[in-house]
Amino acid sequence: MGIGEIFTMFILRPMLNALLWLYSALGNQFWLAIIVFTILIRVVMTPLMLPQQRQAKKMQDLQPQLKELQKKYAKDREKLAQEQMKLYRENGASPLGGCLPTLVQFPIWIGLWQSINQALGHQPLQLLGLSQNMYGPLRQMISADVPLNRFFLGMDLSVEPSVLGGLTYLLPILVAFTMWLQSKMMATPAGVGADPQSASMNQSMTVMMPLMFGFFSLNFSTGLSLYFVVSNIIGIITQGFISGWKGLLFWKNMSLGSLGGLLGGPRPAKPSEGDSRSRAGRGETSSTSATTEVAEGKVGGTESGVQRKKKRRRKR
Amino acid sequence: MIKGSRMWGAAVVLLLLGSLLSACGAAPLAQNWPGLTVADGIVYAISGTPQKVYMLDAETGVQKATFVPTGTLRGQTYYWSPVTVGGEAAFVGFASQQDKLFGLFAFDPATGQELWRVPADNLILAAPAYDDGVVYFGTSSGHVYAVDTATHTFKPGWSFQAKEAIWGSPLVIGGKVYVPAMDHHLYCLDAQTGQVVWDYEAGGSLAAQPSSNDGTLYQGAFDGRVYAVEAGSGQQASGFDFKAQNWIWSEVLVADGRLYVSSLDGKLYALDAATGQVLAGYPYSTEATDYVRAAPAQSGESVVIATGNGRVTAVNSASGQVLWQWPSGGSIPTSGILTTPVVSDGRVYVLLTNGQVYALDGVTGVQLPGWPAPPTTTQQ
Repeated sequence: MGIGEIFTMFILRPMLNALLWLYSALGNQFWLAIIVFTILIRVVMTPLMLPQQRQAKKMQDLQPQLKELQKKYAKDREKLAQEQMKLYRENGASPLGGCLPTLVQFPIWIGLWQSINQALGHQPLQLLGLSQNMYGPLRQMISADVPLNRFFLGMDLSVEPSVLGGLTYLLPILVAFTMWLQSKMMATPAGVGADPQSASMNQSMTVMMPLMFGFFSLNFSTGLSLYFVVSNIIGIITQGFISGWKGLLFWKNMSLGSLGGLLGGPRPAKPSEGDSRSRAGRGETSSTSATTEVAEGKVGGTESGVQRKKKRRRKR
Repeated sequence: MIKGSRMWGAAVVLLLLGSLLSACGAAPLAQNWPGLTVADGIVYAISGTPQKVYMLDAETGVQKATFVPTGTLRGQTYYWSPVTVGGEAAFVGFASQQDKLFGLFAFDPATGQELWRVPADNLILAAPAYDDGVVYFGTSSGHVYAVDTATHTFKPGWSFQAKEAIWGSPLVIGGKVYVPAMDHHLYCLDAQTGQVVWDYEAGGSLAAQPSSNDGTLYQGAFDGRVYAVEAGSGQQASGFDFKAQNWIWSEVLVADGRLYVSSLDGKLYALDAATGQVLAGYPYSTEATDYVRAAPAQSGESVVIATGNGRVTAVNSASGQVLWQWPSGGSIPTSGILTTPVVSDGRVYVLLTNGQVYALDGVTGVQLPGWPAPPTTTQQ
């Protein structure tokens, strides 16, 4: 059995048939089937996604200690790295803890994309695939309804925004925005604790991934974009319950400087420059430092905005 | 340096993931199967990369000419309908979405020279129908057009639109145009005006040309049923009932008062034309994982079917017993077959999904010399 057949048997067929069953059960509305299917996928993925989101919270919680370590070992980067790893180990945190769920989702995305293409096929080979991949009892239910109702708010869910044009271009923007917002809520504050290169990488990923998915969404069926948007919104809500909702107020701490950060951004300060000169400390806010502030405000025992104001008053 | 390379690593991973997704999104091949037509000693096969119409000598397989629309085409993915020959021209639907070119093209069967073209609003996936100087064709947007071949223009006042795509060829008989549509309806149109005379609602999508026998139209549907409809009134013929276990996507073959029906359930059925009862010796079943998209074809005393896995089988039309198979001797087919085989002058022509045409002896199933044709891309 080749990898293609394994993929078809264990991913494509179950997903396709689940979507078709939902379609049938939800009054022949494919958009509704996609939304409910997304929720189900998130529920099934919870054992994988929850640790990722908790890791994000843990990493946020560790920022004060990481900050301290940076101050302490500003001139000894090797020692700093050792101490950071020790801190992560002691607290059960893993900076790479979020990779697995993302990788696991790739076959799901591809499976869903193929399922949508087959279920809403508007060309012969797509429908031929549908006929071969439906389970027997479901075939009896669905065959008479083919071609399936593929419209949502006048938008053909089987066609790409780049072909449909008009208001459908909003969908890739929505995909990128919700993904960015979700990663902002999950992101470990950059420039603090992490080494500058990693921080810069984090920051780039926070921006690059949403941009990339926004671009993909332009060229994939709008049904897949609907999945991304719903999935991201569920991710945002879940993260909100884990680490608080302040991350949603991203505009509060945005400035022109932070917009620069959004587009690749200034490099975070090197540890040798001293964390006391970090952007937040200098009053320069960036999108990531804004998250830091939010995260720090949430974490017990760390500097809150009120505490910082008090300090400034004392200095004066 | 190491950290810098980590960044590059992340960028590469992102690019790889991006490429993976983009590769999945790309559509290098048209999403339909190629057409095969044999007329006046010429085999018309859609083949090659990018595809074109090959005109091959039906006896020797030698390439006589090719056809592609004139002008520069930037696209690499083309959509072709099967070729229809009528009058002194050949007609084919062609689309290149990248070039925003959709239309019906008429060309010289001898030279492949384009004669004229008319635009269409969408893909033409079914073979056009020719009758008495008029070409009828449907598009994926549900429009049906009638083109006067003398003036190369649409017939004035002629217009019809179904609610879904037209994937089956229109059937023109006795001044009526019967159009199967994906909206589950079989429409009967007046050939002169395009006005709807009647329409019959089936229980599933209709993606194949109806077949006619003694004033009754037989139409397979995606709900697995064959519908028998009175051509004059559009009423369902009483007493006829048949249902396969999967979709019927092919034309019903009418031969010797029997109906032969192939289905995506991988079976060939022989039915009583009056009742739809499956006749003794049938159904003939292909391998468990196989399916039959192509319609059956009659070759003398046998009925020939070609399967999705690429196997051609001839069964005795009366008994359903296997007469021969190709490839023979347990050989594995090189490619699938979705296109209906064509029988002409004792030969069975089959077009594989890889674009290769094979000619087989209609009695023995032996592959004839000179075939496959046309040469593959790598041989050219």
